Amino acid sequence: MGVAPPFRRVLIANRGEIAVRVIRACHELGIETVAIFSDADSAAAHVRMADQAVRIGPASPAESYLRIDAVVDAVRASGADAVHPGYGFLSERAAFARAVEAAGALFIGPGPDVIDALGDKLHARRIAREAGVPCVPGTVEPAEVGRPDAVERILGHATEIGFPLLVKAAAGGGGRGMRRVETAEALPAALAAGSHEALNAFGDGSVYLERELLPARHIEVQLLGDATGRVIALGERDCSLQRRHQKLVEEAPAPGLSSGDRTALHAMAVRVATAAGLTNAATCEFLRTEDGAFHFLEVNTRLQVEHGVTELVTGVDIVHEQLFLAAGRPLSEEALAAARAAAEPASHAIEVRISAEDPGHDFAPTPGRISHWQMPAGPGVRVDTAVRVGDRVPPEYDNLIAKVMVVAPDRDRALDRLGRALDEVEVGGIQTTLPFHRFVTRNPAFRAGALSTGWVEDHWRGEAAFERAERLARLAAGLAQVSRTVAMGATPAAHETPTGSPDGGRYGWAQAAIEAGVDRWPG
Amino acid sequence: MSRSTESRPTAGGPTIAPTTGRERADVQSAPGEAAVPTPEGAATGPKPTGAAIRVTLAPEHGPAPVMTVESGRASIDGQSIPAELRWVAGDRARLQPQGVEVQFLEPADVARVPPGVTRREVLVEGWRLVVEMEPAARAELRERASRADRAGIRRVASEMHAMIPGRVLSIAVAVGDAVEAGQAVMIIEAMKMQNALRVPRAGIVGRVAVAPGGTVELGDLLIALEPPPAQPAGEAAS
Repeated sequence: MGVAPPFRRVLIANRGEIAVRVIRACHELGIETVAIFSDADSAAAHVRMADQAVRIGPASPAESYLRIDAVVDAVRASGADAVHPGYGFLSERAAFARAVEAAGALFIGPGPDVIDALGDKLHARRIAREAGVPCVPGTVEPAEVGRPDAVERILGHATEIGFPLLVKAAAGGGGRGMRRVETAEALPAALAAGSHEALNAFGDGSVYLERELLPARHIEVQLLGDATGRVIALGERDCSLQRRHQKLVEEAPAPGLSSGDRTALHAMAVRVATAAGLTNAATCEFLRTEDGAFHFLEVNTRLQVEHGVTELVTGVDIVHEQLFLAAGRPLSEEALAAARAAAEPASHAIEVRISAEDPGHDFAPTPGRISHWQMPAGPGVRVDTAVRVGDRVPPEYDNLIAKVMVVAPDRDRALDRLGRALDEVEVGGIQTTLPFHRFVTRNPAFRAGALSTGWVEDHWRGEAAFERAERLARLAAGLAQVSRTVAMGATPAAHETPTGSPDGGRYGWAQAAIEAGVDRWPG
Repeated sequence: MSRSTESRPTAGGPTIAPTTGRERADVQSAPGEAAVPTPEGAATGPKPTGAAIRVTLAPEHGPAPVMTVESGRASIDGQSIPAELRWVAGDRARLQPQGVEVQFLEPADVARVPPGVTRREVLVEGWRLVVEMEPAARAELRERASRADRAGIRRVASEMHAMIPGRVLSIAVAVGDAVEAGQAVMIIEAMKMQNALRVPRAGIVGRVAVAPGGTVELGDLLIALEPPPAQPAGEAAS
């Protein structure tokens, strides 16, 4: 072990692949880990991998992973000296960071005051504006959803901003609580629904309005900051491919930017973060319109789902950095060197999010039990997942089940590698977003770098793709069944279980296949 | 049915590329072509049509046009599609001339399959589909019987079942309400997303089987619809 571990024992206040990711980083540094789990997760991967695990409540997130008191009790009971919040759940709740510190442990992430300043999207917009960084047009105060007398005022703001616009959760992330609104008539219902969803997901129902910039690319900058006030940018990621404002594909660096673009973008992000006094890790998100201008969107004061692509390009382990930074150490030499090279990245990484969603039916959730599970491997491939065969994808939580990442010297080769990796993926029991990702990887517009937040709507014809696939599936299954019945010499109506061995000489190549099929298929 | 969109760049099917350089054809792009005999077809001589298999999608996928598969070809919507299966290894095969690789898995819930029906889970191009197979002759007999049963009944009741497990957030209708086809009647929250459930046809709400705040499992009855009042009815409209 090269360096002394920054902590003795870290509690991971999360579940799923990100809990596994953090546990791995801790174990690499010789840190003990504590998992927390709800009743839906008692046999989950993060529980199996951690050195100890504490039950915190029933399956519902509001009664388990979102309960500050329950998580803090687990911190005390386990004797953890630090808490990593992962993403989602309590990761951007200043009250949680404060409660952890009150319990005598360190919060691994920006401090509570910074979370307040940046995690509140409205506040962040004001900070960016003061730092001279252009913002996406919209309101800077929360909409008064619960007050019927405020409706006129909200509609006035909306008309100023212009339709279509977005209702967004001030405490939001990942598209939760977000609603697209095309007309003034639809605004009140969208405000109510967005506020309800935000309250459910984040415990805070504040929403605000923002103009929908389309076409635009979503580009974000990975930031790290230490206690001396130094903030660096580890480069940017393009996360334009989204569906319902949930990212589907992310890559680093953002294709098509010049070195000058990158330098300017990274500087803007560092300016916002420095103004807010950022420490530890955060991500500054921008929209880039077709004229090449960047518009500040928000800062996420936590580890991002897609942090892995930056790690693959820079060689910096962001979770390791977070752990050392939280313990008061300065930014590492590797991180500083990566920041200096960030405008001239030497490789390209792409991530696809394999989620339990049906891309043939509007990406509807598909929770259920995974009966077959094969992930890719080989050179330049990284898979972050917490799933194995027989696991149930619970309906209560986020539907991300695996992140497949590739890295290669350039984007074309990264795409070729991604295509190869996705050909190795097999998931049975539930439908996943895999067909969409296979489509993206081979799509000429995507390969050409023609990205936009409207890309999925513009290019993906899910129903047609599903229709084609279901016919191929039926055709193949039918042919297999026909060859089986013919070989058995039985009339199909009899539907009998084969007992004897058919004449192998007569049926040639079909023989082995039929036997293989019969072995696997309960009649 | 949207064949025109089938010419998207990926329509040729990604999977492992055949090294023969043989042109890949889309399933639906070869209508009317003569059936290509498969090895087993050739071996058994002229094939009895009694061997035809009716292949449908499992109920979870919704309805799809009837497909009948015989040795070496299939027919769907009156179109004949030539196809043969070449086994690669174990549970994997390549469909030709479509040039796609398919994988067969054991379906998870065999217990629910009606007698005489075989269910398979198929992986193709990243999709996962559950299909059901039944001898075509048997399926036709069953359908004739069921048509006879329904003769004389012009309007039928229908039920909506949950397509996703989740929590019922709100219900917009009550027993006795008239609904239009496509009308959103309830919101089910799953994975923190709100999903509006729409009725497939017009009718009168006959039963609401769930309550707001309750949880539903896949396949649970949500709402039963009664047929709308007959159009030439003399009764006063409400």
